[in-house]
Amino acid sequence: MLTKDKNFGDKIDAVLTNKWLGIPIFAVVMFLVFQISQTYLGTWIAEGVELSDGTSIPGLVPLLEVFQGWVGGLLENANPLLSALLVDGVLGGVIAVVGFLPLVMVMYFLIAILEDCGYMSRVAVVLDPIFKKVGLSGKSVIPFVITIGCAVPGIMASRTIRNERERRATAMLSPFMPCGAKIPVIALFAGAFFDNAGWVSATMYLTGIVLIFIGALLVNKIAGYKNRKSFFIIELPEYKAPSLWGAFKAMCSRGWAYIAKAATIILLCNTAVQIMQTFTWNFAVAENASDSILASIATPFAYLLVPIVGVLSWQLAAAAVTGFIAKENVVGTLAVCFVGLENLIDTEELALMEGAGAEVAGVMAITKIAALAYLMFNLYTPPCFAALGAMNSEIKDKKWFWGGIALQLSTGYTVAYFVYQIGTLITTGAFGAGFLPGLIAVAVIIGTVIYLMLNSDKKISAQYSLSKGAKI
Amino acid sequence: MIYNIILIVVLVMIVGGAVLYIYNGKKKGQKCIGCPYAKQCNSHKCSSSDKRLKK
Repeated sequence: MLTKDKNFGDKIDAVLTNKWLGIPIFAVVMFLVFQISQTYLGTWIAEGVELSDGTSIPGLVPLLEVFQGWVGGLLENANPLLSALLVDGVLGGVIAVVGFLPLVMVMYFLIAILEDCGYMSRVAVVLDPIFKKVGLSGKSVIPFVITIGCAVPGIMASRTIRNERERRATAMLSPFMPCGAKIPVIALFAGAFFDNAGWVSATMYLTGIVLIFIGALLVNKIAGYKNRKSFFIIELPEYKAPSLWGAFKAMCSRGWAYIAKAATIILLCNTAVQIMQTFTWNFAVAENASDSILASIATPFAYLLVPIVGVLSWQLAAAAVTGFIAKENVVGTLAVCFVGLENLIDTEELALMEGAGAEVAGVMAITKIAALAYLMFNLYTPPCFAALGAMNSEIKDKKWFWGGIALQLSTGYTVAYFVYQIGTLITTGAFGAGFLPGLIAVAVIIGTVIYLMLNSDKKISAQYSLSKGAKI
Repeated sequence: MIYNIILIVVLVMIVGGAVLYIYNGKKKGQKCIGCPYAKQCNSHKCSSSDKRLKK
């Protein structure tokens, strides 16, 4: 019923969807979600808790490790290659991914609560005016919010946008929002290299939003943006107490999906990675892992990563490449390639000389800045193949589709390059390894974008002059 | 020897089970194995090859 009297919901809306307060409130809410899921509750369930009376409640990761050790003990007399394939390849990789399940499930639970109480719809309203400024539809907000759960339905949600250019731009920019599959990757690097996992996750999501803005501006410039008004109409649900049972069911559904993915695609990939790093091209056992099939395939990619991580590491390159199959694979492949890192989540155990993660940093042989840059590279380069398939379906144009992939690759590489090189300059006073080749690559990327923008301007000018001529 | 045979059988079962799960999922039209929305996508034909959208 339409009334001038403001009810309780209207009063809350006045604050939550306020022009100035809306976005800071959203940032704080998301920070709390990440803090609870990745620093407190999620980590406690994963690692276990020690009570004040000295008794400790074991978490999921220690239990999984006990199981892995037990299986390893059973196979003491078996062929070491077969034993390694099962214990390090199949179990090690899957356990590394499943170890992050509590973090993912707690985050899904909290997001389900936010959705159920009606807050996420308000987020769409808060972000709508800003997205319109960069030429996206207000409806673009919904795909971006859905992508936090999974990129495939997020990209598919862009079909509600009627304007073709806006729909295509939304579909190609949605993957910049880190999806659920990227949480283990964020949690791995945040936990192993940085004391405070919460701010790392929040920064990754905020960076994703910023990249969506920048990407939208670039798409406008390249594709030619004709200013027009678009309207975003959404029926805001009334505020209500969230259903804990509903949130629990949503969490279980997504948690089960996570396990299904870990036990199928991730498992097969880790098995293949283990086999490829065990044998040489002659199918002889590789005495040194750097002589293996995997190393020979990944090394060319490793050269491309030098300006980002500062070292030539085929293991990091292999993890980044398998990440295109499913992003959780980054964690699984790192666990298989760097044997002994299965316990990636246990930050206390990884306490080191200069804060958390020295042990991991020592094994991976990269700095904290390089870890941050590598994390960003994995988050902002193209998503998994399933998401790319969805992107292709929604974009329906080969030129736009490949342009979108090029945009994602270029953005991920450029962001990671600047983070590593500028971060290294600030912390050490000198640029990192691979500065010059990386600079050339980034200059080529920026040059190509400028060329495309100028070319687009010329085309638009030509179109306008033609239409003026027609009027005369 | 017996350990190796058991190990090979276990490995084949695990890997075979994973392959079979993916095969069945793809056969049912799932775009992404493990995606919680896969069933909804199938039932509503939300792929953009949907004829209603082409119209």
